[in-house]
Amino acid sequence: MVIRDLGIIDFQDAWALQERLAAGVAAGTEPETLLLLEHPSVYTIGSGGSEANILDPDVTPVRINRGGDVTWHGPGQLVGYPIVSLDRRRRDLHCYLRFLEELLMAVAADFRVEAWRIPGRTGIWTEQGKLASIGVGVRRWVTMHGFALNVVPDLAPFARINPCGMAGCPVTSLAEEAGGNVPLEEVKARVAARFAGLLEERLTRQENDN
Amino acid sequence: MATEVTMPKLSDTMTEGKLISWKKSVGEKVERGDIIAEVETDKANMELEAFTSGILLETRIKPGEMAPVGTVIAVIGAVGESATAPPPVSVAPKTAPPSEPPPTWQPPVEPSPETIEAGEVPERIIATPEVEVAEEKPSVAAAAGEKASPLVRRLAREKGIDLARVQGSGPNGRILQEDLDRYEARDAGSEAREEAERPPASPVVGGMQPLSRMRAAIARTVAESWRTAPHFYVTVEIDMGEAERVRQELKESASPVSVNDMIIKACALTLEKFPRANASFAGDRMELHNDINIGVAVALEDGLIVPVIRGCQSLTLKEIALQSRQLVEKGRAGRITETEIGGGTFTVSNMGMYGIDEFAAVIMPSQAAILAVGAVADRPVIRNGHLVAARVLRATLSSDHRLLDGVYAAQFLRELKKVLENPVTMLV
Repeated sequence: MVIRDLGIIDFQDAWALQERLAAGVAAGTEPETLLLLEHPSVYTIGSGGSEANILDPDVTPVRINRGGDVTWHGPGQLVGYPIVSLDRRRRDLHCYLRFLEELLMAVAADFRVEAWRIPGRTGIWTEQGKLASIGVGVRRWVTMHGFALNVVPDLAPFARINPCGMAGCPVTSLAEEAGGNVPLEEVKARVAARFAGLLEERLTRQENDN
Repeated sequence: MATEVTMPKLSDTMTEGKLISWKKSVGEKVERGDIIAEVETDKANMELEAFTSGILLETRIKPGEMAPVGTVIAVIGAVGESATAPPPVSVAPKTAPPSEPPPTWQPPVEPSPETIEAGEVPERIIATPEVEVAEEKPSVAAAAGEKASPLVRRLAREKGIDLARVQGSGPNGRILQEDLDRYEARDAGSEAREEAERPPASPVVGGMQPLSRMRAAIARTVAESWRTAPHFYVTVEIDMGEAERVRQELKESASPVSVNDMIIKACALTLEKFPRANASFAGDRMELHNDINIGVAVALEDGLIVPVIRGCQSLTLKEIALQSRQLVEKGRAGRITETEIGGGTFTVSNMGMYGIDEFAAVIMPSQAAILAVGAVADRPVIRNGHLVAARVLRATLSSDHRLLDGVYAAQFLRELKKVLENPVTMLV
């Protein structure tokens, strides 16, 4: 598992990199990779998402090949794009989504923030609202896109949309939950530390010839 | 030869998927490996590849529509070939109330795989082979060849017994009068069974009814489970006196929980220690599930649904009670969603409210076991040598023998009994 810290990177650039890595992982020429990054402010919407969830007509989201509805990415939010082969692990999308949730819950707990799942509403939640969003795309059983964990973002941009297609969906961040500043680099380090081990535990890689 | 494209199964817990978009249009050429559609389940999308080359002849669902796993959603064939016409839509009355958006009806090309209402069948259901009832009628000549006295022949004729099927106990296999009696006695039972199994030769007018979709889904679900999972049953008696006291206390402190909620919580605690009862049999391996998702069978007017309380391992008794109440209400009102009935890893079926002492239930497909719970009733028990009345409940665990054995089931029930008889452990 290769973990790459891309710092702040434009959405389209990161998407192009994901596409390239996904093709490589499917072909067996690239190792499974976790990209960790922040985006400059951008709205994206899943292929099945509804434009009706964009409340502000000035918002023009990028429509992308992932599940879920409209969301916002921007500074202070840790984005993770795991490019992993479920074909070599376990062909089970729900299991993969539950793994991402478990990872994020564990990372939140590292900062003494208790977050949980709400059945049927993929992502992780606290009393205050949604702490992290998840939206995944899979081609030839290789994953793309992934999760966005609100660490210390300005939450105002979420007010211009129905996050994840849920009207009035409250959004929260690790900083708000922890009641103080949470350095994004530390959160990134926790994700990096936990990712490979938990993935292996939940979706064990099957040994094969290569 | 036209090839059918079906809604893929992208997860063991996926029962239906949403078509997001078609990447090819009808009439367009498709190469093997081309992405032809995008399908969504939960928050994950999958790009669907064609496994064959040809022309996209037909698409059977529209973007935004849901289809059960295994349903044919498109047909790919050669140029000039036409898709097989879908059979006429059956007129089965819908059991769900009209407020619910109607699930996409798909023509059953295979034995119809839709399982919307019951929802717990993740697999495509394979048709059971036709059972040939090879009741060969012996020819007259053969019958005439049986050794029997004229008296026995006459008796046989009167009783309508075919002598060719009677085992003779006399010399050289000669059929005696007592053989007839024996045959008659033995056959009475099996003939009655055969009668019951065979559909009446002509339907009784007014006695036929098309299956509702829910009925059909239940029929497929239980038949699939019964056919694949070798069931066995173990029953335990549980003294619910202490649990009822705790329940009363909770009620007084405005935290109402039902006996069933306590059973669900107790099952969750027990399943943590007995992971095989929370597993799926997958051919060459068993899949042990991390999450304990307990389904609760809810009776409806003609059928049942099984809403699932997810992640029971991390829910308190109070949270289980709350979720259970909401799910059951939604289920009865027909407002339950697909995700709320999918993903179960264990099921509890409670007929206590119907005054049933004990019963055995059919395991839900892909699950390892189901707990059938009877009523809490006053029963005599001996305690310290004295006969006393106790509040006793009988619970029967149906288990899939491929995954676990009798002793495992017995230990499971012993642990469950321990938890329910020491209910404080459920409150911490």
